[in-house]
Amino acid sequence: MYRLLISLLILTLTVVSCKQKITPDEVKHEKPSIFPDYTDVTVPATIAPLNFKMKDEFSKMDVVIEGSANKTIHLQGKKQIEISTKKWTDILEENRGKKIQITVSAKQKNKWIRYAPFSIFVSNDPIDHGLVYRLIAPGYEVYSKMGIYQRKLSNYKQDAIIENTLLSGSCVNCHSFRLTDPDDMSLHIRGKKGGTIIASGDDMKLLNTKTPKTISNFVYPFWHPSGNFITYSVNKTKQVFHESKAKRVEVIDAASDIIVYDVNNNETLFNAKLMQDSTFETFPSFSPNGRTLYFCAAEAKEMPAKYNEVRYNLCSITFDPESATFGDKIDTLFHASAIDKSVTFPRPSPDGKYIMFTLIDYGNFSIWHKEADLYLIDVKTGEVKVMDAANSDDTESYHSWSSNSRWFVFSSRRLNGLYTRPFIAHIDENGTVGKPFLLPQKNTDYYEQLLFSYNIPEFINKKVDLDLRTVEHLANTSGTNVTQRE
Amino acid sequence: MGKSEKIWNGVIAAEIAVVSFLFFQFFYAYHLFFKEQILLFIYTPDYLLSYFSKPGWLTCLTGDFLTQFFYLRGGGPFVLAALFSIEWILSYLSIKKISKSQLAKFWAVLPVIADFVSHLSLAHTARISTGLILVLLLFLFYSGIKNKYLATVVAVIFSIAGHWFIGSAAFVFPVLVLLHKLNSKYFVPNTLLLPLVFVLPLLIRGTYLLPLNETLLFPATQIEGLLPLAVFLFVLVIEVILQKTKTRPLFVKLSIGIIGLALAIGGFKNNVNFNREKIFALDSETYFGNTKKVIELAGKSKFENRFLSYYTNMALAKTGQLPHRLLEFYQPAIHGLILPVSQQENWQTILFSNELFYLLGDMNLAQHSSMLGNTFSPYQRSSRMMKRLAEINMVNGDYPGAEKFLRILGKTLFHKKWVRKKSAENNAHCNSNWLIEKRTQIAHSDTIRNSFDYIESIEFLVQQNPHNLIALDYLLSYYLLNKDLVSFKTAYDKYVKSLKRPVPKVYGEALLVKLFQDKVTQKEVLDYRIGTEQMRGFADYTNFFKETRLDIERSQDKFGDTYWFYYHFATFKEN
Repeated sequence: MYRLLISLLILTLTVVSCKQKITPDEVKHEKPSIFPDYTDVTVPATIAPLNFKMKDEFSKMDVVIEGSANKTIHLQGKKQIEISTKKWTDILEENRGKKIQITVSAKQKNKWIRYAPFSIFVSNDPIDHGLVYRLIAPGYEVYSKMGIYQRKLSNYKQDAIIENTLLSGSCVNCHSFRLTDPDDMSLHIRGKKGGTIIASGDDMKLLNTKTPKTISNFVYPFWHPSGNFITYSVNKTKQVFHESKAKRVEVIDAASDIIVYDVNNNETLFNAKLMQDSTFETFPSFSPNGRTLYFCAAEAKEMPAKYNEVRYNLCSITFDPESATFGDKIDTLFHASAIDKSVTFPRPSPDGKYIMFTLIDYGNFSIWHKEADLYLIDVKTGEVKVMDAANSDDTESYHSWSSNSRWFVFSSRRLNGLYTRPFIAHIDENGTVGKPFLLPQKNTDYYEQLLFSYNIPEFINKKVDLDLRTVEHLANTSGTNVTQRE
Repeated sequence: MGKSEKIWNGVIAAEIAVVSFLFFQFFYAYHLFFKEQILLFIYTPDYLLSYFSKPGWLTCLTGDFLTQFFYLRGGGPFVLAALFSIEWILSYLSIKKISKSQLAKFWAVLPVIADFVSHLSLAHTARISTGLILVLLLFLFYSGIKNKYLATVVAVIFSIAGHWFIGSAAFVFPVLVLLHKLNSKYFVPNTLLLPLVFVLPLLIRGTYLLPLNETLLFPATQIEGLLPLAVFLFVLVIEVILQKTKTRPLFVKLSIGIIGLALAIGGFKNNVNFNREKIFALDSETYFGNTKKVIELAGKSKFENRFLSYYTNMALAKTGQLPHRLLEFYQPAIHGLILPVSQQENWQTILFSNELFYLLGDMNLAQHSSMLGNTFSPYQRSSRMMKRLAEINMVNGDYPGAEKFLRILGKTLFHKKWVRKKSAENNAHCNSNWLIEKRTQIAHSDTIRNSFDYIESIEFLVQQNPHNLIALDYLLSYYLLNKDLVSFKTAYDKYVKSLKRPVPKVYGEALLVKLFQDKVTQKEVLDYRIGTEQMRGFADYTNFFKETRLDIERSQDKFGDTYWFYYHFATFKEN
């Protein structure tokens, strides 16, 4: 009797676990319309499984994933295609530098429809451990719940690094790491328990960053590759609203300058060329060799009256880290104002070959500019090209490079025009960009249900381990005043 | 349990249910509607799993699950009545178990009173009630275990893990165990449970990302939220002491009565806010689309408050009555017209503020305010704000944006019907009447303004479409309530004269004051086509004014609802 029962159980399990091959009622020549759109994307071999579903209604999906070694994964799903991490990792590892082919059939209106197969290219180029981003409701200027989170790229695990619930009435923003290394981190806390947290190795301090010579606290950060300096902009920022439904919000600077903070000596370094009244200077970043400071600069205008006449160019000034001094000449690398455009978020690739930036019609805060697109400038030749493969009809904005310069992550509003989502794209040594893919989630409805935008996505080469008790303790102290180098 | 005891118990449970149902249904219903509107309970795995990110997941989950029923008329009072009755039964059984007291049924009323009066506060939620119920269930389960070793294991497990699934109510559990073991040899070993209950929350509070005080209080957000638990503990301790001292039952009964009365009166006085109930009444009726009822409720209310004026003015504007009846209602200058979205305002004001921007057709400010309203609501998920965001995106023709909110709402129990209707319109990109109407209001060219430049924004809407009468009436009412007759007349000449609209009462009155001040010719006055009755009224007023020499009381009786009176006598008072 027992044997019979066990046999029946095994038989049942076998029948249940074997996915029947389907015979399509119709074969279509177009590729399936799936969400997220993973058709023909380029991915790293260590990315988490790209679960997906049909965009149109369906009652069942059948998917065959084939690699070059004739290994296949056959999956079916009623709500989405959920790929086992083990099988997915195996097939990607076996197909590094090659394509895998995915054939999708969907049961729609009681008919099985087979679509033309699509490919996913598995790059040989490795990607960093994970991403760090802020999740914040697109509620513009005031804040309630928000947090900074880290996400491992090889699975779906997201952990909070810090949430503002820990520091009631505060806002956490502008996280920044030295070359994707979370051991060196800068983070602002605004509000009642405000200050800038600088974590460098085991040392953590809370700084009061307003100095008599600067117009505000430190704002947009970028670490020097040595870890000895951080450049920040200081901005008098204001938010104004559009009347037209096509645009929403404009974030404008009524004044802005750039400074460099000396981490070891707790000093702010100034340079008159980066603090001119006649110029708005913002979004600074260091070159990978640490000898050039890139930034955006625009002729100062009356604000907010002439908000749409402000055009930022991509500029640079030399910096000597040994003496902590600046050059005496500002170079313009890309004269965007000459073509009636404006540059924002310049981010040099770690290999020093390119600078990626966002180009918009005016101003420097691109997150609500639908026309915002990503561009690349070749540092050697000065050639500028639009990154068509990465851009969409909606906003492409904040971006950052992987440590090996072969991947970049950027935020885009392309899914619904309201919430920014992180997309990752491959870029080869010649600057050719692959089709970007949406950061995969286990549940394909995840983004639809999420009421927060992804803000400032940054790669990290290992897990961030921020000591929250120290942060909490520091936030309850008065902090250390930053000094000025005279 | 004897028959009379059973009857007594039935009577008490029924009384609790009936009294609480009647009170919340007929005197406090809008508070409960509002509590549902600031919550969004959706049936998706990710949402349900999100409860594990904070302590007391089971308490919060059951509390929020029950709160979604507050959407139904009578649903909130019914749920609370059921919760209070269950609380009483469980409290009674627990007290009986610990003290064997014949008066347990009376003692058990006290924590229920505490929870009842706490529910009068906006910060108190069903989560607190479910926390109390769950900890009592745990205790009754534990005390029912006959095997002492098993009971010890269960007590240790509940003490360690209690905070994880029932939150702050778990701290009561070891106290109940100790009182239960008071005269037993196991009392001393069980005292170890007391520190044990704090171990887990202190160890893992980092994962909850909450400060220490909030970790210990959760799901309560303030110390007052612990009142029902505190009263329950107090009852037990007092009952044990009274039993030890063999106090006479009559004295005990009397004490229970006095404590209950003090608790009810004190709690009621401290927490009940019928003025806020009036505000929520107007707010919810606005949300339900019952414009007439808003005006009717405003007419009955004697309470003077900017929120009441805010909702009344919107209802008047919607029905075209604003320029006729503006001054029939309390007007705290311009503060009853627009609610500012700023850090100085509390989250309820921010939540309310979108209504006007949406009504006027300022979709960007409406969206801004709704997003903030949602973010600032206690759980950052408000069903009402989701609906508004869906509507705004539909009006703007941002169909994917609208779809996002509609899909989220589609996963709720009670908003599905609304979603089905709107989704059909959204998917078909069709032009329903309401969409056509709203789209005529929105601006088609662009300018920028500061977030607090509301009047500039309203004027821009009027410039774009002078037939947007709601915006026009708001613009003119703003100037009038600000006593800015120069701007009023300029705007009137610019936008109203060409409309060939009969001169509304308040506008006519204001025009007469301004024309009188400007000493214009009779022909110019006639140009405005102000009714002869109003002209006569103005003459009466000026004569009366001269005769009575600023006698406010006499003027108010006769001219209290005129702009003339407002212009001369109105002063702003804070409330």
